[in-house]
Amino acid sequence: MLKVENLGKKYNAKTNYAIENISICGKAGEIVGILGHNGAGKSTTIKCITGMHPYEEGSISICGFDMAKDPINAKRNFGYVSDEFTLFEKMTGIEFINFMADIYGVSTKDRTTRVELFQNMFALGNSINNPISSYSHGMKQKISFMGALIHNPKVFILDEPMVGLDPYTSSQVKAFFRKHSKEGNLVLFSSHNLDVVDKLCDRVYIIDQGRILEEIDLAQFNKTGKDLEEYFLSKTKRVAKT
Amino acid sequence: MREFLILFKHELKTQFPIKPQKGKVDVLGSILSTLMTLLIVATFVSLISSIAQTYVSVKIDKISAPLERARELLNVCYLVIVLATAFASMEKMRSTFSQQKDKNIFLRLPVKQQTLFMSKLCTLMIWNYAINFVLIVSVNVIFALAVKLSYTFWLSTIAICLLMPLLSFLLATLFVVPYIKFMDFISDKYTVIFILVSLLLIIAFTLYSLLLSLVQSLLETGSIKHIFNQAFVTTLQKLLAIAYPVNCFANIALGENLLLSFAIVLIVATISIFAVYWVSKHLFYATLYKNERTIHPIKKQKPFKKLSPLSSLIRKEFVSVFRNPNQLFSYFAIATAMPFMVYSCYTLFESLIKNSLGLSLDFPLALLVLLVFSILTNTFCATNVSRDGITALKSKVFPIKASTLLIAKVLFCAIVSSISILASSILLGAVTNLNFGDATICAFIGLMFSTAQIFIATRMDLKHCKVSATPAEIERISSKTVTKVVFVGLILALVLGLVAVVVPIMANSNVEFLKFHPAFAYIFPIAGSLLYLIVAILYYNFKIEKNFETLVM
Repeated sequence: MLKVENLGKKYNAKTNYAIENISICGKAGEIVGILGHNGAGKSTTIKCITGMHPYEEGSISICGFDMAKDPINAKRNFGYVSDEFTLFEKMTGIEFINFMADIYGVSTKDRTTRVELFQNMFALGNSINNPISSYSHGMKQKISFMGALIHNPKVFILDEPMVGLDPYTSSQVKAFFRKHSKEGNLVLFSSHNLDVVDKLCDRVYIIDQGRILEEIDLAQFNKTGKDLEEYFLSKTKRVAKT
Repeated sequence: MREFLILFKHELKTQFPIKPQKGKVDVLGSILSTLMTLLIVATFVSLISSIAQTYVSVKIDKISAPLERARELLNVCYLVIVLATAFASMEKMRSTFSQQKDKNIFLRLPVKQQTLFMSKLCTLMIWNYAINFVLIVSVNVIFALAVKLSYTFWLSTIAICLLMPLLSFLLATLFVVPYIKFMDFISDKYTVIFILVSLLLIIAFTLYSLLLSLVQSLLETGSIKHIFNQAFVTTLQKLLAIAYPVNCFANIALGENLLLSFAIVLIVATISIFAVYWVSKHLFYATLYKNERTIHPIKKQKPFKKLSPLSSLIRKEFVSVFRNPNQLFSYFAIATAMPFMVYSCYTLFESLIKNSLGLSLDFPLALLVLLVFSILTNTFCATNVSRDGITALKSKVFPIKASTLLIAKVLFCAIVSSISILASSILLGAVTNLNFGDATICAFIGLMFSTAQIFIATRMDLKHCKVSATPAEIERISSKTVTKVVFVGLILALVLGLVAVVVPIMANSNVEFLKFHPAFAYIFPIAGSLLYLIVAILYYNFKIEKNFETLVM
């Protein structure tokens, strides 16, 4: 469903690579995590995958559509929630979701059903009819989720999705990730929260200084009895001081 | 003291964001901006200077009293300065003290609330003094050039610069609480804001028309003395007699009733210092722990309606502009007031040309006025991409082509602009002596010309767009795009208008090769604007996808 091969990106021709030789693979029914410290290259990788940032090297394919050659079809197949909740602040929550549904060509029937589902899932109630500028950080995040999921994407990409969510919504989101992946979709998200990654993901890519250090199959890894936190810190050469 | 100085420095940097320009310098944009500013300042100074010279030489009952006239005119200028700066101070007090802004950041830091308040108050004082200083010195310099005044005038100028800002602050303090309440009340009533700003704009333009009629009188008669007659001066004197304590400043400037005027002004200044401190402190502490988020009443959910991506993007543009008071004013209010502006300017210049040159140039004049105002209305389009900020970058994720995303912005502006141009043309055709055929051709040319301007402005903005820019940076970047677009547009409008003027005149010429067919007066502007539109579309489409793709932080 998602295939990233040897992805390389420089922000400036004179500077070093922000990310280099990144290869990520995501299959249907999986939850894949990208784990790394702040500034490791997680957001840059995700921004390249979603088409927000142009890239110099490598290839990205989403549901068989090449991001460079057929970006429109590639973009039609994923939903994206960014780490900055940059929304059209002057719209109301429902106007924003409707706008996103129009962009992705969602039928009136489907959007009605999905809005009802998400409204219950995120406990939004009637505040969905208020301007986004009046929302709290958490509320904005919930609206971002709804906008990204309104077209029921095959690939769901998120950048640091759990930041700012209350415990109830956080557990609802995690449950949704599992449900969405079980329905044959792929969930890919970046995080520096080891606990979330450990409990939720099937596979994890450890990224540091713009490079993939290791791909871990968590089911296999957990059988070894190793601690993911210690392993991650030893891999990234930042051993925790106890 | 150290804490105060750190906070004070921070406040100064926030209130006066003067930063050296980083990166590539837009030389052409900077030169054109400077030239345009100089042109506006020079026109303003020469106009005021001319009015001042004429007014001080007015004779009442055949007696000339230049000092008395100077005092009246100075009074008027000072009154305008006090009212304008009082309003500006009121708005500044609202944004500094009654809005949360950075207060919640400082609340978490070990900073004394009183020190934070004092740093904000001192910065506000400096800001008010700076604005007043520029205005007072400008007016006094123009006056000194128009009327021969002694060195004491300059000494009193220093005193006025020190004391007048306190008067405008006092006025601001008196009205700031109801003003804040009113602004909070209308903050989410966009239709009310739209009607109010449109009305304010029409009132401002009426005053501007009044100034233009003074210019017309100056051009027709060589002087404006017949407007400044005895009745006018007497009415002005009656009004100024009650304009306390502003009239004391003119007395101080010209050395009349010096002691009494000084005493009044000093009392006002003392009251002002206490009032400003007390009201500002009240506003600051009342909103210190205020939650900025407005509680909106729960509205009933409307049934869903599916739109095409293009229609939805155009709707999004409308909502974003209409619900932003600044943008609402910059575009919708100006576009609404445009027919009125076009009509006023057309009737003014039409009679001026008829009276002074004996020519009837209805069509070219209507065309020129229409094009100039459509240029001014469309300056807003120079922020078509950049005003979205970081969301412009996020829209790259949408499964639609960049050309669709951007054409929605162009179409939105073209719809607003077209309605404005059509309304202006209908008004001219219906109310003035411009016939409907000419009005229709004017509208046709105006639509092509305006659409071309929108295409160019949008493309230029995309080229220079910096999505992570602050509102101040967006303003700086777009101001250079605006200057270029206005400059090109004005030159083209002048060329099209002038050809339409020259052709009918040349039809009576003795020189055979200059005798163009009268239809050429219409064909040239139509062909010119069509060509401009084609060039604009080509420029707009040139590497547009690539340019949008490389749009990054």
